[in-house]
Amino acid sequence: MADITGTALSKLYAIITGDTSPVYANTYSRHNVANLVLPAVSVDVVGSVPDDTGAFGSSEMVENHIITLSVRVHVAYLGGYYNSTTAISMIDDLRDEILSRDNRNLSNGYRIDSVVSEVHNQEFSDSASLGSELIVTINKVGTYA
Amino acid sequence: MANTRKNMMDALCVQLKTMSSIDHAVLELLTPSEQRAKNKYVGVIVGDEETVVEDSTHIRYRVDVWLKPIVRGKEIETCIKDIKNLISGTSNTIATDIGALQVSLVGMTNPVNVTSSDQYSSAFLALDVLYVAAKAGF
Repeated sequence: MADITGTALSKLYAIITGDTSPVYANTYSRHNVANLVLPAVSVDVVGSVPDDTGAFGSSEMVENHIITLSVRVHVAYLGGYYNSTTAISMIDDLRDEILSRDNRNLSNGYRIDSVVSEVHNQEFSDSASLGSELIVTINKVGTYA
Repeated sequence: MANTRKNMMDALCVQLKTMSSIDHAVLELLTPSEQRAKNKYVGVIVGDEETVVEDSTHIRYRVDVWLKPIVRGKEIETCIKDIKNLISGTSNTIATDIGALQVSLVGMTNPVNVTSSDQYSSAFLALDVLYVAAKAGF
């Protein structure tokens, strides 16, 4: 099986780096970043679970996966000032971009399902920073091989 | 690894010397007689350091830095005010100027006379400095 979590991550990452309004200069495809340059956006995989699988009848077996990813915006280092205006405007823009109709279909069976949660004023230990987080789910429909 | 911290502290000394209330900023504590010879002096002392975040290529450190200005009498208040403004003023660029990620003032002691019946006053100002260094081989 192809690495579906990695593919889902790179597809979501491509949406964020392709966002031209505003341009996020500092984007990272992992949460663990030591040389984080603020303000920053980072994307990482949370997990993946198999969904329903059709194994009956004469058709091929269809295998679904739900991949959960996290998108974080970083506005300050630990001990710094959490600017909620900056964080909220960044996260709102990302949410709009992720959920826009043009971006929902990621091709090759990948589709953005939903933004499950949006949490603000978080302290991220992976990067020792303050910011906000979106949890995004992506559906992957594949044929069992 | 390049000596990032030393270069940063040297740059901090340069920035401190730009203030009118300081003439000398050095990376050592001078003896009392040396301090008098360099009136309007601030000593920069590097304290504990810890790793805050580490990834495959870089390490982010947090280091305690103490500033100890020693000046004549009541000039200490002006000196402290200037240092505070340099570190946490509204338009400060100290972190960028010295090559750090973030510099914050986290504490200060009362200004006191260096020794009893002395005309020199002193205080400790504690700073938190965040900086990043590349790992060797990158």
